[in-house]
Amino acid sequence: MSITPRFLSYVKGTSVVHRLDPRTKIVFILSSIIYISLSDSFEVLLPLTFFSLLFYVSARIPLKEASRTWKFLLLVILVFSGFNLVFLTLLEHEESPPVIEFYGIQITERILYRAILPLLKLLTLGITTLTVVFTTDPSRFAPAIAKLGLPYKLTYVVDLAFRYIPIFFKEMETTLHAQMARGYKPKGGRNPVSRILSIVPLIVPVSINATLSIYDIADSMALRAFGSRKKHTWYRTLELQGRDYIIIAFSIFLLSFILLYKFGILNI
Amino acid sequence: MGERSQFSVTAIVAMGIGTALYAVFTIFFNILQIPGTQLVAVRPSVAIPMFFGFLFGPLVGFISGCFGNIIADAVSWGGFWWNWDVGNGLMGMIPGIAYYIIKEKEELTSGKSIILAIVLAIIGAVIGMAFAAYTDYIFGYGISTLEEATTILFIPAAATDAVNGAILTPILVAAYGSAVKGRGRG
Repeated sequence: MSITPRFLSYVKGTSVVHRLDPRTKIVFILSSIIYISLSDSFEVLLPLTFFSLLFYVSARIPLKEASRTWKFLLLVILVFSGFNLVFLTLLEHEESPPVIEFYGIQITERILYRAILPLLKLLTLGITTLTVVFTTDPSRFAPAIAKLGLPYKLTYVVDLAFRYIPIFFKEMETTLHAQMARGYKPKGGRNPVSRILSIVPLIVPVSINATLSIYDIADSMALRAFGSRKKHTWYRTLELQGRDYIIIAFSIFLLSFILLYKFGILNI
Repeated sequence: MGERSQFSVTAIVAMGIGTALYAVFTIFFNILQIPGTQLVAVRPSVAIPMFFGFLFGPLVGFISGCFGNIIADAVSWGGFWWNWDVGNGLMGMIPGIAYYIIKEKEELTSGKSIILAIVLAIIGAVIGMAFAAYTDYIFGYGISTLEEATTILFIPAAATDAVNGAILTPILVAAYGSAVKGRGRG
């Protein structure tokens, strides 16, 4: 039985989005989250949905690399959330004027704003974050966060986490094989649920081993004087280019626009 | 139990290891969606940030839960939701209260420590998931009424996380207590 993550997401490429500085992507994603959170109508949200799609298309991610993640995301957003929202809105039995009608199905104003708008918000957020996850090498996040001004100790947490994730996947596999050698029979086969449930017995041994190793790692870092200085330099250097400034300016525009709109200074 | 500072080298490493561990297990458990809910998965792995909070303090628990959830959601779904990340952080932070009560490693296997792990895991799950579910309603992330937030988000998420946390956190605490008995540190 092999343990490997089924949708690890970074896809190598040379597109303009791939070449963007990770700081730019973080700024764009944060401003998009605020914009989506504060938008309360289609007129306000749709332009960002359009830009998010443009952002995704510019990344030129091959469909075969992204299809598994897309299928899952669309299933969760459109099927699970969509059905929940539409049915719950219909169950409330509140009168609302129909806005669109096709093949006898009426979309009322209430369904539009209480079911379809939240779905569009989820979809827009999904498109933006998916693009960033697909186009950013995980090892570039830590220096980017550091350059954004986060204390380097906290940045090192991100760096350590990304470094140890593959190690712990390997550790899980080793522990599983060790338990199988002692007679443990994990449920395999084609059922994905039973395959995942067979991982539960690994939580305690893998976590305890990992926790015991913390002191050894901390000692070796302390011996190399980690934390003795207030500043820290990074092996990977980052430099903002012209395209980064354009996206950062756009992010600032998004933020200013939504704040002015929300405080009633700008009317649509 | 080692250095007792929230920003010591040990705490920084614990945050990194806790984040990685929580992310690694959660990537798998994210697939176990509860039918009729919205993105709520059964996650036995919630015990990891709770355990790290219990052992290394509230800040370590918070960072492990928050950052671990960001990475796991980003890897398995290609996206993340800030309020659920903070909710997961709170789940790890609240068991961190034990850090100020249990001061000796010998106490980790005591009855007091086990009961504390169960109670704090349940409180952590309830507070953390309440924050996540009701902020979904406040910001309109696919949720339009308070009843919806309660029935399809808060109750399934808090109940499953509380049960998983209440079972696995004391097991992890006791197992760690037994493992470090006789060790010079830990």
